[in-house]
Amino acid sequence: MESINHSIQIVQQNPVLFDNEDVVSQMTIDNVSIYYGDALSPYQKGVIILTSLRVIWVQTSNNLPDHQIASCALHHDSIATIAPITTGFLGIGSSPKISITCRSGKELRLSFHAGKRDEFCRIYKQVLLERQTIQRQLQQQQEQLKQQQQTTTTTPTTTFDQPQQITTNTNRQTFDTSNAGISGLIKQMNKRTEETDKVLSEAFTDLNALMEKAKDMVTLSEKLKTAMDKQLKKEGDPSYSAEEDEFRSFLLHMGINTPVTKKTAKSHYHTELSKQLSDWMLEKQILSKQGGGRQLNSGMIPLADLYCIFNRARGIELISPDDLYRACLLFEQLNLPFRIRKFDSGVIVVQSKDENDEQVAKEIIEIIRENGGSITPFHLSTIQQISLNLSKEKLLACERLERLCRDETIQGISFYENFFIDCKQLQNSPPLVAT
Amino acid sequence: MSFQFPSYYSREPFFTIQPVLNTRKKQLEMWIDLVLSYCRYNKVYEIDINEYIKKDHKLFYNEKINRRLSNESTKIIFEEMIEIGNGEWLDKDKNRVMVWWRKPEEWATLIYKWVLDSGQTNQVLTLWEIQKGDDTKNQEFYDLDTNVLIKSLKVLEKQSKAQVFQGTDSNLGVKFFSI
Repeated sequence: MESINHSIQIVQQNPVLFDNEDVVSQMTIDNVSIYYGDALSPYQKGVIILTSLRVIWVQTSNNLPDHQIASCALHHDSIATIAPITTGFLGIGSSPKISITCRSGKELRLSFHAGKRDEFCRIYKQVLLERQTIQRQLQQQQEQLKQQQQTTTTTPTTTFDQPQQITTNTNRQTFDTSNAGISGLIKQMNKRTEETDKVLSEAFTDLNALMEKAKDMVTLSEKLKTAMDKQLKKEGDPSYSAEEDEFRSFLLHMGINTPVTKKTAKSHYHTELSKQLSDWMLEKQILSKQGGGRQLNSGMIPLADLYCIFNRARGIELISPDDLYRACLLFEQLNLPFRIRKFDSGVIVVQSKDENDEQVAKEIIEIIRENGGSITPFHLSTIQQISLNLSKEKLLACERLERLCRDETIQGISFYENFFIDCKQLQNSPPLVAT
Repeated sequence: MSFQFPSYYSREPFFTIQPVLNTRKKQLEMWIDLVLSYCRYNKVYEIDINEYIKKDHKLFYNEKINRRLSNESTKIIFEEMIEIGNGEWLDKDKNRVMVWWRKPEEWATLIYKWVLDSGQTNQVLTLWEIQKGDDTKNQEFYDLDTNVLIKSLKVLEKQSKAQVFQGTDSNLGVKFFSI
């Protein structure tokens, strides 16, 4: 057991600590035994003390003189891993143990006869981790020191001495007694939050980098497109392959070249965004795609769908749902050919300005006639290739216009042309006029 | 020949009470018209809603298109019918309803006209004579429901054209006056 230091100075039955060593508070546990693997060791039922540098075991005996008290210590640096031993079915009744694997490969076990194993293990791991990071920092600083020494040897100036001193000073601070106790813990916590902040900010810079790359991709796609156009003109060959065609259209659909952003538009952000959205919707004929292709620039699209398609087209500099909603609210104010509309159920859609419900009703009645007199929301959604929600809203709107009427059964609702309004076939004879 | 149902009776939405106000109003009108026509044709004066629905009466159940009126829908229709004065609830639970395919005022006019035409003013007639008498066989109020008849006579009473009084054997008698 070369890892264990068997001779520790004991003064008045307490182990003597190093200058830079502190006892971790609450981590002095009584009635702990040490095993070499499975075998017993001479160290049985003593006090175990966790310090910032070592784990110290001291025999508990009240009457022995100091030099006869058995003790040992295990330095943190010689430890590879520690883990609590999970006792199986057969282990019921035995004391909880921790397995300690040393860098030399040897295994030690600490048996906690009086419990507190998990607590000890948790703190022990923490201390080890801190020790490792300190060790690593030390190494780095030493390397830096070496480099600096090398440079100082070539150009010996006094200015380099000061940073050296500072680094060594900070080094020493980590072992200061001010790191113990509650203030020490607070310091550690602060340090940890600082570290998290750093990690977070780093993560977001990564995101920015990604967006920069996406910009590059867009410019690349534009370049490719123009290059292909040129090539096409040169060759003048109309028989380019379908694959090329697809690729070209893909590039075209890559998105909006210069998306309006908060940075570029500032206070006019929503106005500009609204204009761009409108232009884009006109160009791509977003609404006509929604109406089953019956008419250009008619139909409506749910705001959620629009949000997805629009952001897909932007590719980078994505906008928030709220920004989109505000931009849509500005349509009418800016005299753009769209408008936003909220159905009673809360579904919000963007609709062409020219479209009104009468026109929608006409289209739907046409579809109803083609479909044998009635239609369900689901059926309409498949015919018009719109969402079920939207299809239902359309039908309900037409119902409110008294153009449709409903038939509710267990199977669901279907809609019919409203025959009530046109019906004049009443049979009951008019009331008698009193003579 | 049995009652001829109108064509809208075989339209599916007819059996769903429409949520849109105007459409619903028109629909209720159509239903009331159907109920009144049916009752007039079959001389029905009283409808027990539960009974009709339980027995899948064809007035509220179209077997061909497999659509039926629910109990609630039926009540909505009859409420509306009573609202416009073509009936009256017979019980608190609103299960039985009097259907007046002629309002009592109309019956009163018809009866009084017949009395004048047949010169029976200032004579005492029993209700039975008005309902089942040989002289009234060709009249529309022949076989008229007793409740409805009394309602009608009360109307005439108010106009001081008639006086109802208790006759022998708990039979009601009525005397018409010429004005």
